[in-house]
Amino acid sequence: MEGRLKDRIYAVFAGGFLLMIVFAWLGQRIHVGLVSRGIEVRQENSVEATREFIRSEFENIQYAMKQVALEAANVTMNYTLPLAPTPSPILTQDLENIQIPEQWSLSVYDADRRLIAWQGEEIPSAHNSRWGIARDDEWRTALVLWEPIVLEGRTVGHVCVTQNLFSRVPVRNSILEDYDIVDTWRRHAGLDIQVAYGDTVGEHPLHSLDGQILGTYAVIPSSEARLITATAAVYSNLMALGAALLIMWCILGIWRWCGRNLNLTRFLVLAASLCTGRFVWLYLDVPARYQTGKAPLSPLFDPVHLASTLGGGFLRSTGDVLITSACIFILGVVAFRCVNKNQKVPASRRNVWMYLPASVLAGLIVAILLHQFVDVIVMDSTLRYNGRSILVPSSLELVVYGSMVLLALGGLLMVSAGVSIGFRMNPGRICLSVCAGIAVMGILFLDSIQWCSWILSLSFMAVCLYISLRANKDLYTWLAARRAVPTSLGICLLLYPVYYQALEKRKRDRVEYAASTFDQRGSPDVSMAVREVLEEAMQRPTLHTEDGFHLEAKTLLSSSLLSSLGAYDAGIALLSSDGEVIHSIGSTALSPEISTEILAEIRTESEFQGSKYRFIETQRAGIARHQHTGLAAVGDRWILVRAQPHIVAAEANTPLLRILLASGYLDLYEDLSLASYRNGQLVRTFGDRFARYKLAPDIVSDLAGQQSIWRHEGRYLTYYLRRDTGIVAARMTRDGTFDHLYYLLRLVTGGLLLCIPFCAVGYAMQWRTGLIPRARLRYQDKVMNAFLLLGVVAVIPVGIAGYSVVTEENEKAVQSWLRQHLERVESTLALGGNSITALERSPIDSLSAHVGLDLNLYRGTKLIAASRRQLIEDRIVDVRLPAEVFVAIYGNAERFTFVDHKLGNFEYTAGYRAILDAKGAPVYVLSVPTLPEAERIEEERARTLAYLFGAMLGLGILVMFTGSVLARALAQPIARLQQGLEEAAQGKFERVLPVESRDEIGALVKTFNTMQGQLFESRQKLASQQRKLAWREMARQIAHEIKNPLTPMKLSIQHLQHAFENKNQSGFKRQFKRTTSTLVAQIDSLAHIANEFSSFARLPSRDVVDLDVRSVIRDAYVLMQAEASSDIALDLHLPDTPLPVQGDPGELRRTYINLIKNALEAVGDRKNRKITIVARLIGEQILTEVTDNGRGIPREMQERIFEPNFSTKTSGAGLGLAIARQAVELSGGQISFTTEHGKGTTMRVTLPLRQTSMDHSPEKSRKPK
Amino acid sequence: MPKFLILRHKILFCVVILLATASGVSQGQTDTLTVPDILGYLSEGNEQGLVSYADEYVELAILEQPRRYTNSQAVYVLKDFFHQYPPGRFELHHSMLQDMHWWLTGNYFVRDEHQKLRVYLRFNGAFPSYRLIAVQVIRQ
Repeated sequence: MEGRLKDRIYAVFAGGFLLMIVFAWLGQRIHVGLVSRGIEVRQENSVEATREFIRSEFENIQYAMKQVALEAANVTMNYTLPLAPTPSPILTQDLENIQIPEQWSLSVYDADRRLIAWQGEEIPSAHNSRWGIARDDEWRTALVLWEPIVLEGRTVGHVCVTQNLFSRVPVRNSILEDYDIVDTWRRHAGLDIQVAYGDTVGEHPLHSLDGQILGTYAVIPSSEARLITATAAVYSNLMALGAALLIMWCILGIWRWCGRNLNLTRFLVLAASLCTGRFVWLYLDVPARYQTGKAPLSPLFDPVHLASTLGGGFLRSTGDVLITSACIFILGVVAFRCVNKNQKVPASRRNVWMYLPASVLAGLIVAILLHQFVDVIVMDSTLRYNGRSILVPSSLELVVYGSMVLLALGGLLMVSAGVSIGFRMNPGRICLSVCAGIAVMGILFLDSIQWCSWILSLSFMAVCLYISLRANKDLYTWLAARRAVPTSLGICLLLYPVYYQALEKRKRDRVEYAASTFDQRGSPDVSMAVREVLEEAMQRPTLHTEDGFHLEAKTLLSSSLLSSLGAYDAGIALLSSDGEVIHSIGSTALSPEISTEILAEIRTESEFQGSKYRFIETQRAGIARHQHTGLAAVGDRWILVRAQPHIVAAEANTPLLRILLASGYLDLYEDLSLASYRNGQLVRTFGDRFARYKLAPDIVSDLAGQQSIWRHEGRYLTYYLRRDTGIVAARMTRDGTFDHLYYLLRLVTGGLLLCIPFCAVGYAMQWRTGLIPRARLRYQDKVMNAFLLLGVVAVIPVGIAGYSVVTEENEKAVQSWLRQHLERVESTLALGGNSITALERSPIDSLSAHVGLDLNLYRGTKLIAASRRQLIEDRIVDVRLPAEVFVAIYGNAERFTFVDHKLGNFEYTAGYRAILDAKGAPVYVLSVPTLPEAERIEEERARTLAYLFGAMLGLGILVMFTGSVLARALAQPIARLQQGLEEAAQGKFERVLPVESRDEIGALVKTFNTMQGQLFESRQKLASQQRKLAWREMARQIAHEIKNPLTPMKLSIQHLQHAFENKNQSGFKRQFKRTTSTLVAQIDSLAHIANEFSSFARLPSRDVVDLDVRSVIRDAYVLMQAEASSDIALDLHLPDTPLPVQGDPGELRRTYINLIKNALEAVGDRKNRKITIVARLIGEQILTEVTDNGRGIPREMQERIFEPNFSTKTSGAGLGLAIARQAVELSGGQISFTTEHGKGTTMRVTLPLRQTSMDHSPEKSRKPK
Repeated sequence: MPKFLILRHKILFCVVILLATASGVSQGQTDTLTVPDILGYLSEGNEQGLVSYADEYVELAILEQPRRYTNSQAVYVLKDFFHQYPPGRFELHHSMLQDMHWWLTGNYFVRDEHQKLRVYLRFNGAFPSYRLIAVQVIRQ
C-alpha cells in the first residue's frame, strides 16, 4: 500500500511538471500577444513607475541626510555657543557616535564656515544654498546639505552632510570600482536612466526638499522588441524549470527503480539517464539562466572565472564543474553499490597478486584522467589559486576544490567497481588499491616537489595497500565523520600532485607571458588608440577651433579606445604653428616647452613631410613610462594626442601604489622580477631579484641553440627568452615546503567542507537503512568517539586562540613597524636641529627619498605636502586629517596613533606621529600611509596561519590515529572475553583465554577461565547422564518397535493354527498365504528397524580419505535433483577453487542427502519453492549452507532435532539428523541451523579445511576410528 | 556465477575507459584568416569561429578591463557576451596594420536595440596566418 501511495505521489509530481510546461507555453503565447498589442501603454507605465521610484529614492536620501544633520546639530548644541573658530577634538569625538553610511561625510562649521568637527572623508561641499550639488572636477559629484545651527534666532554654525552621488576611481580593477548611485536605480528599474546634476534643463527635474532643482533625469523606455523578449523570457524560464524538474524527476524514478534490485543493466540505464539529464540541463541552460546579473550565485555561472570547452560544455562555468563532478560522483557511488551488492562470492586471497597490479593500473588511468580534468580546471580559469597572502580561499575556489575532490572520488569509485567486476573482488579493497595506483602516478608527476610530499604520498600508499587487504566495509559506514574526514584528506593528498602540476604550468605560462611583454616598448594597443583618436580629430573641424575644442575633444576622447584603457592617462591638445598650447584636455597636460620641443623634433624629420601624421614614443627621464604621442597638422595648427601609463609596475613598490595598477598588471607581475639584457649586459630591471649585471656565458650559449630556457638558480626559477633586441629574464621564487603546505591546506579546506554535506547524507542514509541508531554499539567505537570528541574539544580552542594571537601579533607588528619608521623620520629631522624647522625647510620629497618611505604631512587638519602627489590627485589619500587621528593627537595628546583605512576592498593601516613644538603642542602630523613591508607582513601572517592550520590538522589526524589504536587496545581484551563467553554459550569450552594484563580485565579473564573449567565439567557430567537417558529411551523404543510387528505375527500364526485345526482345506490355504505374507512383511519391518538402529548405534568402520567436498555435494545434489519435483528451484553455488577436507565420502554424501531431503520435505506444497545449496571457504573452515523457504522449525522442537528418534514427520525413525551430526562431528566439523517459523531454515555444516603443507599437528591429523 | 560477471561487461568497461581517455584529446584549428569570415562570425555571434583563429591565450576586454584567457575559456566569455548583447550586424570601421599587428575596428549593433558597441580586434603574425590575440569591446 505504501509503495502504491509513493508511486501515486511520484506520478502526481511528474504530471505537475508537465502541466507547468504546458501552462508556461500557453502563458507565453497569451501574454506576449497582450504585450504586443499594448506596447506603448506598458512602456509608459514602466517609465512612469521608474520616475516615481527615482523621485522617492532621491527624497529618501535627502530625508536621511537631514536626519543626520539635525542629530549633529543637537550634539553641537550641547557645547558653548557660538563655537570657537578652531577644530574641536571633543566635538569631533562626539560626532563619531552618529552613524553615517559609506560615501557620506559629516562636518560641523562655525558661522563663518570654518571647520570645527567632522566625520568621514572630505567630500566636495562648496555651495551657498541649503541643498546643492558639489563637484570635484570629474572625480566626484556629491549632494550637499548645509543645515544651519540656530541659537535664539541667530545662526551660530552649520552642519554639512554630503553624499557622493558619483565617484570615479583612477583605475578600475579587482580592488577599485566606480560608484554611481544611478547604477542602483538602473538595476532596480531594469531601464536605462540618464541623470545630469546641477543647472541643467530637462523635462524631469530632481528637486530638493525645499523645491530647488538639483538636476534632471531621463528614463529611456525599453524597446518594443526588448519588452517582448523580456516578457517571453519569464515564461521561457518557467518552461525550462518545468523541463529541468521533469528530467530530474525521471532520473529519480530510475533511481528508485534501480534501488530495489540494482544490477549492472540497471546501473547502465541510470548512467545513461544521468548523462542525458545533464545534457538536457546544459541545453536548457539550467540553472545558469536563473543566475545572471546581480543574482547571488551569478559568479558561479560566470565564464569569466572558469570555463572550458572540454566535454562539450560540461565544464563551462564553476557551477557546471560542480554539477558535473557531482554527477560523476553519484555514478561512482551507484557503480560501487551495484558491485558491492552483487558480489556475493569473494574469491580467495590468492587472487591478491592478480588484482593488485590491475588495480594499480586502473589507478594510473584514473590519475591520467584526473590530470586531464584538473589541468583544464586550473588552466581555463582566472581564479587566483596560488595567491600567497590569502589563507582562506574564496568561495569560488572552494567550489573548485570541492569539485576536484568529488571528481577524484567519483572516478575512483567507478574504476574500482569496474576492476571489481573483472576480478570478482571486494570493491572496497579494489578502491584502496586504486588509490595506491594514483599515489604511484602522483609520485611520477612530482619531479620538483619537496621530500615531505614524497613521504606523505608513499605513506598513504602503504596505508592503502595495508587496508586494502583487510577492509570490507559497507559504503554508508564510510560516510561517518571519522571515516569521511580521513578519506577526504587522503583524496586531497592524492589529488595534490596533479593539482600542483597544473598550478606550476599556469605559473610558468604567466612568467613566459610577462617576459614576452616586458621588453615591448609600450603597448601596440595604445599606439593604435592614439592613431585612431588622431584620425578622428583630423576629421572634426570643430575640434580645430578654439570655441568647439573642449566639447568636441571631450566627446572624442570619452568614446575612444583610449578611454577604455583604464591604465592610461590620455590628453588632446591644440597647438599653434609654433607649438604653443592653445587648448588642452586630459590629465597629460603639456607644458609649452615640451610641446615646442616635440614639434621641433618632428618637423625636422624629412619622413614626416609626406605623411598626414607622425607618432613618437618617448620615455620621460627618471621614470619608466612610455609616452605615446601622435601629432597631425590641421591647417596652420597642430593636433597632439598623448597617452602614458597611469602607473607602471616598476613604480608600484608599495601596496597603495600597487592597487593602482590595471587588473592585468596586478596579477601578471605579482611575485616576479624581470630583467632585460643587451649584449649580455643588464639594461633594465624590475623587482629586486636580479643582481647580476652580466649574463653567465653558459646561459648565452644555451640560448644560442633555442628560443627560451628554464633554469633552477638557487631558490629561484628563472626563465630566459631570446628576442631580437636581446635577452629577457623573468625570475620567481621556487615553491618551498611552505608553499606546498599552503596549497595543500587550501585544497584540504575545500575537501573538509565537502565532508559536511557528505556526512549529513551518510548519516541520513544510515538512519534510513536502520544502521543508526545502532541496536548494539561496540565498546571500541565508544572509546574511539570519546577520543575524537576529546581531540575536537582540544583542537578547536587551540586553533581559535592561535588565530587570534597570530592576527593580534600581526597588527602589533604593523604598528611597531609604523612607529619605528616614524621615529626614524623624526630622528632624521632632529639631526638638523629643530624638527619643525627641518620639516619646513626640506621638501617632503627629499625627506621621503632619504628615509625610503612614502610620507604625508598635515598641518592642523589639512594635508599640506605628500611625497606621492599622484595619490592625492587620484583621490586615494584624503586631504583632511582623519577624525580619529585628530581626536587622538589633539584631544588625547597621544604622540603616535594609527588608523585602519579601506579603499575598495583593500584594507591597510596608516601610522600618524605628532611633531611637537618646544611647548609640547602638536604643530604637524607626519603620516606613513602604508608600509613597503605590508605585503611581506601579510604573507608572514598567512604563512604562520598556514602552519598553525597544518599543525591543527596534523594534531587532529594524530588524535584520530591514536584514538583508533588506543580504542582497539582497550576494547580487544573485552572483545576476546565476549567471544569466549559466546563460545561457552555454544558449548565450546576448549579455548582458554590468555591473560595479557594485570589489571581488572586480567582478573576477569582469570575468573572466566576458572568458571569455564567448572562449567565444562558440569556439562560433561550432564552430557553423560543425557546419553544414558538417551540409550534407555532408545532401548525402550527398540522394544516398542519390535513389539509392534510381533503382535500381528502372533495373531497371524494363531489364525493359521485355528484354520489348521478346522481342517478346512481351502480356508487353510487362504489363511496360510495371508499369514506367511504378513509374517514376511513384519519380518522385513523388523529388519528395517534393526538396520536403522544398527547404522546409528554401531561403531562405524570409516574410510577416511582426502577429498574435495564439492564433488560430494554435487553427487548429493544430482541424486536429490532427480527426486525433487520439477517446480522446486534447487540452486547449487560452488566456488571454482577446490574445497579439500578429510572424511568418509559415503558418510558425508549421506549427510548432504539427508539435509537436502529434509529441505525438500520442508518446502512441501508451498508456492515458489526454493532450495539453495552454497559452499564457500571462510578462513580455515568450509561452510556449506542448505537453505529452504519451507515452514521452518517450531521453537519448541528446535532443541531436539538432532536427538535420535525425534522427527516432525509421520514416517521414518527420526535418525537422519542425528546420523548427520554424528558424521560431521567425526569429520571434525560442526552442524547448526537458523530457522524462522513460516519463512524457512538454513542448515550449516562447517568442516575444517585440509592442511596441505607440513602443518600437520598431531591433533589435526588424528583420524577418527 | 552471477549474470553480470561476464566477458562482455569487462569489454564494455575497457571501452568506456578508452572513450573517456580519448575524450580529453582536443584539436586546434589553424585556418587561414579572412576578413569576411571574421565579419561573419561577429554578425552571427559565432564565438567558436572567432576563437578558432586565436592563439593559446587571448586577451578579452568586454566592457571591462582586459583579462587574459585561454582560448577554451574565451569561447564561453564571448558566448556570454553574444548572449547578453545579441548580434544584429557588424560594420567594419577600418583596418590598420602596424609592424606585426593588425587591427580591425568596427561597430557592433545589438539586435533589436539602438545600442552600438565599438569592437577592436587585434591580430598578430604575418599574412595570411594572423592569430587573434585581443578583443576589446567598449560602449560608444
